[in-house]
Amino acid sequence: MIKILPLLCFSFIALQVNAQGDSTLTGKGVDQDILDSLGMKNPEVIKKYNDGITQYTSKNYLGAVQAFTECVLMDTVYIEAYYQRAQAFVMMEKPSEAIKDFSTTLRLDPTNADAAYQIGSLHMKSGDYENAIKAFEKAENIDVANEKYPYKRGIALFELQNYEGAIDAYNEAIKRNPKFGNAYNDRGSCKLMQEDLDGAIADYKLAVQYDNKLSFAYNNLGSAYRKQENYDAAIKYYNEAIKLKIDYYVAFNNRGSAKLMKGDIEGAISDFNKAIEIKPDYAFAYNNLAGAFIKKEDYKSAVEACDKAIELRPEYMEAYLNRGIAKEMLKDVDGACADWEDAFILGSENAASYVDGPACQSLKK
Amino acid sequence: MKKLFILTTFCILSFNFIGFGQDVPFEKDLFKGRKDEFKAAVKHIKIGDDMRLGYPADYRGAVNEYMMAYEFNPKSADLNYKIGLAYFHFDKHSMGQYFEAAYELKPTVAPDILYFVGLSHHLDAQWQEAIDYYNKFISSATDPELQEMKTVAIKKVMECKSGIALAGNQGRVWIDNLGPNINTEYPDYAPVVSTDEAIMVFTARKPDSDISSPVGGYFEDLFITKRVGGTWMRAKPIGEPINVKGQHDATIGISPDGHTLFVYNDKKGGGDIYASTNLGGEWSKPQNLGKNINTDYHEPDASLSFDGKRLYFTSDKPGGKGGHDIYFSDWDDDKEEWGEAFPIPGPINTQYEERSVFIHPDGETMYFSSNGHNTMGGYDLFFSKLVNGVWQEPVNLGPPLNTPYDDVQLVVAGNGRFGYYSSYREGGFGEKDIYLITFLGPEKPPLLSNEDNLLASVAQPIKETFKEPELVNEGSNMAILTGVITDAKTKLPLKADVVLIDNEKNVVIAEFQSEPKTGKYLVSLPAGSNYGIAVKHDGYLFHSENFVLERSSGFKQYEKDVELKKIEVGESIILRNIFFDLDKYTLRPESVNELERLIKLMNDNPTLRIEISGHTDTRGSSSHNQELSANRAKAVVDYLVDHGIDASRLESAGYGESKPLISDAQITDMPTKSQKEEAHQSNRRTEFKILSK
Repeated sequence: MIKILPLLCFSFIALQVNAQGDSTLTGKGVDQDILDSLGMKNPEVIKKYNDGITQYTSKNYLGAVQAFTECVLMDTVYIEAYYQRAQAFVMMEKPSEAIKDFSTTLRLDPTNADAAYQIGSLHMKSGDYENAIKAFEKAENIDVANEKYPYKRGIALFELQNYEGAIDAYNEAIKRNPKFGNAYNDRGSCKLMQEDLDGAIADYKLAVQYDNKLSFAYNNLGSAYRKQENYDAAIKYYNEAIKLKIDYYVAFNNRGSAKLMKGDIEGAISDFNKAIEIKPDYAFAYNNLAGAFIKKEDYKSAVEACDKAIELRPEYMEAYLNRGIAKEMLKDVDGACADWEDAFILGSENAASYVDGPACQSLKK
Repeated sequence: MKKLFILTTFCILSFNFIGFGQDVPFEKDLFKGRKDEFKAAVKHIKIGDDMRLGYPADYRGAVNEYMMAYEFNPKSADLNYKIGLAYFHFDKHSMGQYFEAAYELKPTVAPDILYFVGLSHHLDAQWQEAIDYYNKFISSATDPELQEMKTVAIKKVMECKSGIALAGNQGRVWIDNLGPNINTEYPDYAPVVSTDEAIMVFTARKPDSDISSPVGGYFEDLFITKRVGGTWMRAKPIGEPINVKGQHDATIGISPDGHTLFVYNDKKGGGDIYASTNLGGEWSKPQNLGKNINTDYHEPDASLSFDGKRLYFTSDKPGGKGGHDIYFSDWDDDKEEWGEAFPIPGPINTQYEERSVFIHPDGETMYFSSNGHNTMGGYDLFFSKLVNGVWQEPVNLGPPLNTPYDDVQLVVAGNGRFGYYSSYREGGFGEKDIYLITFLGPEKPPLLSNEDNLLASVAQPIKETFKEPELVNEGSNMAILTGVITDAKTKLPLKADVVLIDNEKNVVIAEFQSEPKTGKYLVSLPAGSNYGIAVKHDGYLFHSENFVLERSSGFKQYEKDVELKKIEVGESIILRNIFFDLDKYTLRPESVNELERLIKLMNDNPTLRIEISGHTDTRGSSSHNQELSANRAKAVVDYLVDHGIDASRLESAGYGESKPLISDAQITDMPTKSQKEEAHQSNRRTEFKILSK
């Protein structure tokens, strides 16, 4: 939808130009300089432009690019044609060409905040967050009212783990739109990453206050409470998230963890199984299911659940560690130590302790 | 007709008595129709009574007799009570049902019946029921003859309260029967194990080696087993001179290296501690530990510290807090005997019994049994930690290790992972068996994975970042160094001296010897010191090792076979306990002991000429390494000269990084950073080589 809106917008402008041309000028053979001086377009160019729009609408992006290219060859300052060609390149997944055309658009029309925003979005997509931030800043400076630009900058900063900077950007977005639920959610997530759980909870609550359909914000709120070891509150908000989105496997998995931490092993197992039912390749839920089976002292089932998690995600450190725990309790100390060694290689510090611990050391005698 | 009516009435009444659980005493009027059977049953009871109350008492025989009568009439409160009393002496698991039946049939069957019913519930870990019966007994026992039992019942109430408190704190252990190579249908108990679990010696009362005792069963004897490939081999009698026919001989302790065995015998009356050593492949005749340890009283337990310098033992001699207390005595090097014994200070000894002391080779953990403290019944197993020289409040090891029965004689391997004790448990081979305890340590927390949709506009959930929970160190904090000492050329085992030095304090902590027949040695190293180890034998160059163990380093086991080289031209050794400041050539004070050893070698061999060489690892510039190694070698030579060695007998050489023990290529292939660091450390060394002699 975001991509279609500018296209329609520019189609409307193009039609206006066309109408203007028909009514005031005789079309072919008119001196371009005169048209330029009058701020009008050559009808041939307009025709090509409209052709490009048609091609674009019918999803013939290559044809659209060709038509817009002919436009800009005829009229090198045809801003709309550059912009539309950039959009066609976006659809063709040619981001560098698109960025080039959006940049030209912005050079020709320094007030075009959207072009800057599009550049930022393309950089974001390719993981070039530094340049994305620069582009969003440009958009923000051009359009000082639109909350979307600082909001997107906040996301880029979040990705760079610059949570302080991201909070500033979200603050700006919220200043521009005080009821911006998504911005509250994301700012809350920054605070969560900074381990400011109270701050995160306050923001997530504002997010759902301004938009009570934000299932993910309820989920995040639940997770913040879970981290505070307030499992009742966590479960309450996971329930809200699941109520809004009945196939929300992430929330089922999280609620299962909260239940497990609270000591409700059967409830946790039920939630992990539900997550698996919704998403059968969800390795995390299998791993957590193993954790619940360990707590239940059903070590055989725990090993089976870990096997599945590892099958789905061969580099899954937690699953190796947990399988080792279950194997040790099944008196398969050799197997346990082998799993802990794998978990250690994958980065687990606890596994390193277990490998160096008495269980594994006693095998070396 | 009248007779028939009476008989019918009696049968109905009898039926009613039985049906409603009332006492049916052995009175002939109640068994008129079964006269002969009645007579036989009464006779069995009489024989049973004689067996139970005679000397020596035969409780098993008594139960057998009583059961004959019981088959005839199970509703006699008095008979049930007597069966319970007989079982009390040899099988407490079985006594409960008879005491309870006796009480149900006739609550006044005996003045102490409430006590025994309480005890039966107590032993079944039915804590609250036991408390209720004990309390009823306490409030009803007014007879002066019951006052002693009343005092016991008051203590038992406390034990039940401990049981309630400890029940929710189940220890994470596995308890596994050691199997038929060790255990038999006869009593097998009191295991003692060397620190590395290579040798186990235990006590058994079985026909394999000794004769029957006049008071029933067989005399106690010692049995020995070795562990091969993780399996305990079939146990054999340890033989003479430790086992003596017709005498109780029992294990009470073993030194950490397994070379000294402490045995108990009561040939002098009272019961004393003896020691037998095995340094020539044979156990020596046990020697009495002397007057400072053994008294006219009872000394039944002993345990030796990791360095062999302190003996912990128990005695019920006067002057303690009550019953058996734990004492310690330090070895007097000058007098070559154990010194004056003192009660162990702190909160360990009580007015009750403290027995089966075991000092772990980590030097800081003491295990013992006690029926004081917060026992949940009988003797429980406890441990206490030595913190800053002070023994801390003992901690009950809790269930399932501890039960309401007697739980005694726990020994723990050096690694802290395994322990051994004897217990009478269901599923055993009969009587007491020896069990392996695996201490699982604190619960290992499973790691969960969660993710959230942290960013509203990003559909892909983000995995939660989490810190792994901090773990409590499992097991013990110590190391064991084991290996075999041989002649480098002949490969024959050597009986060598192994000297353990605290490098920081520059003191010799202990001296051990390797077994002459095998060359095997074992040294226990509690964590928290920089240890130097020197292996010496006359006519050979000494060998040195160094171990630095941090306070919480966990358990490590090192295997290091040592080949001693004869003093011959061209032979060289590495001086592992010579230390320099980082990137400097100043000798550190911890080097003194090694240097003194070198001086002694030079003095003992006055014609010896040697080269001292310095070596570095390959990190840093080679010119710098060359210079550093030369300066370090010279520093050692200077020290020797300053301490009286003629300079003409010494040469110094710096080889820098040119002669690594482990090549860079080998180091690169090592999997872990710590292994690589150890390899670099091996390459940084000081050596000496014999140039002429």
